[in-house]
Amino acid sequence: MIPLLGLLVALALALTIARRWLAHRLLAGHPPVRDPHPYEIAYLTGGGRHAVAAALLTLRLDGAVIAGPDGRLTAVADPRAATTPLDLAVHHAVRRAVATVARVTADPGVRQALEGMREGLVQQGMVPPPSAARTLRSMSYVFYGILGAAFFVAVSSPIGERGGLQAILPLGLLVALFLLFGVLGGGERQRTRAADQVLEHVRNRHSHLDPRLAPSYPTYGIGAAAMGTALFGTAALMAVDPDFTQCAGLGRLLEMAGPDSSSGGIGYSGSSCSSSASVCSSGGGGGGSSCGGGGGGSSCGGGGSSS
Amino acid sequence: MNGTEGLPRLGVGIGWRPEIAGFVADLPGLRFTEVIAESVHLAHPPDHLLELRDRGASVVPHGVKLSLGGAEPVAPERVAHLAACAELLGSPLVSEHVAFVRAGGVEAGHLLPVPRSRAALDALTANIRRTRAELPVPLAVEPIAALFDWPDDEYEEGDFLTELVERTGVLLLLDVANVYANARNRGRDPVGLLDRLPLDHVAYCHVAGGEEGGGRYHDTHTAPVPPEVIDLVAELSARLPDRTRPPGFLLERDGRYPPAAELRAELDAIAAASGLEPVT
Repeated sequence: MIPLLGLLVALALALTIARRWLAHRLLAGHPPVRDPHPYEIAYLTGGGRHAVAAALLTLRLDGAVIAGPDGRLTAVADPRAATTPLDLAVHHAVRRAVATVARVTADPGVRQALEGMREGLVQQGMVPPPSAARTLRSMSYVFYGILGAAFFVAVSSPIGERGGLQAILPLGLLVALFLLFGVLGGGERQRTRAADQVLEHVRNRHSHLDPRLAPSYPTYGIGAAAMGTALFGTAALMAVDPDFTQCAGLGRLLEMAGPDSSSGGIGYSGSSCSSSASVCSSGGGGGGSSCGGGGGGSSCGGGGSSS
Repeated sequence: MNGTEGLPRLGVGIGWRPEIAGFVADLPGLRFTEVIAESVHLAHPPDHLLELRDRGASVVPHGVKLSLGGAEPVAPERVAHLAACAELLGSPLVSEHVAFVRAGGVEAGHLLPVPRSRAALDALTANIRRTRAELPVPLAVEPIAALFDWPDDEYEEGDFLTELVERTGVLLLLDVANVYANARNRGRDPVGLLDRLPLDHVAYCHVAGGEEGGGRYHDTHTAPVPPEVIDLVAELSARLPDRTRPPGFLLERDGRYPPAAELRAELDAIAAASGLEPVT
């Protein structure tokens, strides 16, 4: 029995090392061939929900969407500057009967746009391909299988033959192997190591959007508002348009997206839903500001029938 | 000897504020900026400011709390901070105001005009000398905008500043918008004041926007620069005694920051009016 246990332990160790090596390779990624869009940065920071929050803010600044005090989103105009597939999908979802951020996030068109974004990010070396996750998960299952078999072998040895420390040692070894696998085996990552580098680079390049500097988003414009949201989450949303953020519940959306997304640390107290954002789209050929769209300059308080 | 010799050609600049740090950093031709000295934490200076310094831009610390015009001597620690800012930022000069901000231990919280009297001139002269003695670089002082004149003024503003310059050799930071505001609120011709100023001692100029309120023009720095102020930049530039050594012109904006395109247009207008190279 003991030689078999030794074999299984050796196998588990070999698998730990193999998974470590493979994870290192599969999760490396490669430098992108183009600058990622702010929505892609949001996706890399906090996944699909974070990207949707950035898109909703952009549509709001583009004058296409407003939010009511009940959290209901209303499309008040066609987007002019916001024309990425995600913008259009989110806008389309908002036009549906009763739109809230939860419904927009669950909308099939939005899911499809996010899937398209994810595929693009895989091609750019920013997100590991699904096959990588499958391979690594399979290896984990095999490892747990071997560990289970080893455990079975260890406990099924006649107790009479061994005693005291000798009986506990094999089990202790298996626990140690389990822990070693957890530490060394390499986890499953949502983004590649190349993406980590890109995020750090983008954060440095846009350090002027750090909420501690109280960046003037009217000066920096819509694209910067999306990038600020992508990099700094809730704090940026609150700086750009606190009313829309609170009415639409974007902060809560980012809390669900994960700790990276809601790192801004700005709480929500009260909801006045009265004034509007200070960043506006200057539009393509129309000139002038498109802020507020048909909502009469207020980001909140719409809540009428969808258009 | 006009005192501006040795200063670099500053060109057109814009006041550095954290809110627009990215905009300032992206101005390709910028060689001149100014930072509120009291906002600089010497142990943790803003990275964006250091980057501007490192790319060769002149960064001028602009003090607002020295109270040069106060009756009491300037606080040595405040002068030391101004000097340390100049060292840290590699500044070619520093600037402060012809004003007082505290008296008898009470902080006014803003810049107050000094009476244009001989006694005030004596106090200013003493404080400017004390300050300059501790500074590693030249000092420029800025007359402020005031909505009123003290009743016992003994000098016209131009004569007051001329005598201050003659007594101390200090440089001037001329706020074109202040000149405009003061003249407009008193129903006078701003160009007339320019003619009475020692323009050869002007190191650089502030240009800013303001707003009409309560029948008065307020130099708020939170509104677009009015065309009249841009015209005054051109008038001033045409009157320079030495056109080969023009002062710098610095756009001051302290709030309600507009879209980048508007700020760029204002910088271009200042460049065009002053004959300096555009920085956008």
